[in-house]
Amino acid sequence: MTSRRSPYAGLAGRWLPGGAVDLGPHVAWLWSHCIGEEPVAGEADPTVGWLLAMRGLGVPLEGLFALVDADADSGVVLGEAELVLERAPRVGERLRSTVAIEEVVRKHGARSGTFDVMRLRIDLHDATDERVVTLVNRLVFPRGDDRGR
Amino acid sequence: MDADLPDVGARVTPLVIEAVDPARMLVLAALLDDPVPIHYDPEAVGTPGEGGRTVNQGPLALGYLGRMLRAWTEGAADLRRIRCRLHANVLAGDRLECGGEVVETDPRAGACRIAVWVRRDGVDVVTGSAELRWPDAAGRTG
Repeated sequence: MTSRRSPYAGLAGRWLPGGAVDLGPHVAWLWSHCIGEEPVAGEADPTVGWLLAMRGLGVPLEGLFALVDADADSGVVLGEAELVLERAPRVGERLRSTVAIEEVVRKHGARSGTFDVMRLRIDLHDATDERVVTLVNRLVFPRGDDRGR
Repeated sequence: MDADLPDVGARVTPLVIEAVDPARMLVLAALLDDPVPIHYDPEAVGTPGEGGRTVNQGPLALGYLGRMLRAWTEGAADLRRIRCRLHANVLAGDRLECGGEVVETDPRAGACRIAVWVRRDGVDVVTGSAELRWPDAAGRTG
């Protein structure tokens, strides 16, 4: 695997809008359902933090993909995720999100071909400005044709 | 499990997903407003070997592992951190085995670090680590 400068490296440090995100009871219930947990009204599995953070981007996923000239059919996958919980999010609370692109690197592997990896960080803070969740995702954007760059 | 920390080398009670349910992918795609069709449209899945089966969203594996840890600790420990690296697509209908092993403990913090994984047919599709903290165990020395 080799790395080199991505043509999108200049996105590093760019902030996305973020905003407010609510952990409604339906969101908690449906996340628990998605992971096969028996949903309990009024309770949230802590890993709902991943979903909340992604719901707090402040832009549609298409908009995020478009920043690196990708779209829904580009084969974008999540390569890695790290979720840090200062505490579990609580049903009914509103959290404020801040979102930053930390890095975009280009890599090349013999089997995987050329791809860009975007490291995206999302922090969620509560009403007292205490951090509740930090999520760092590494999103992989395949570049089959290397885009000539 | 009581508030005593597990020993290094202890195995987490595994969680088995007998068959990944494509209907749950649809729910998550809607929750995320996710436009990527491989999660909801079988006809969009064209890679050989995938056989028209939709692709499970990667973070669901993170959720499976969190669920496994929560069940293992009977809710007594707080999940402080979980990191997952995804190595391969998981498809609708796949049977998954989630597991973990304690690799480090910190009695003063009442915490431990656990290597976690999700396997399909004995092969890792997700690997990572998690940190748990037992509020009632903090300060213990053994």
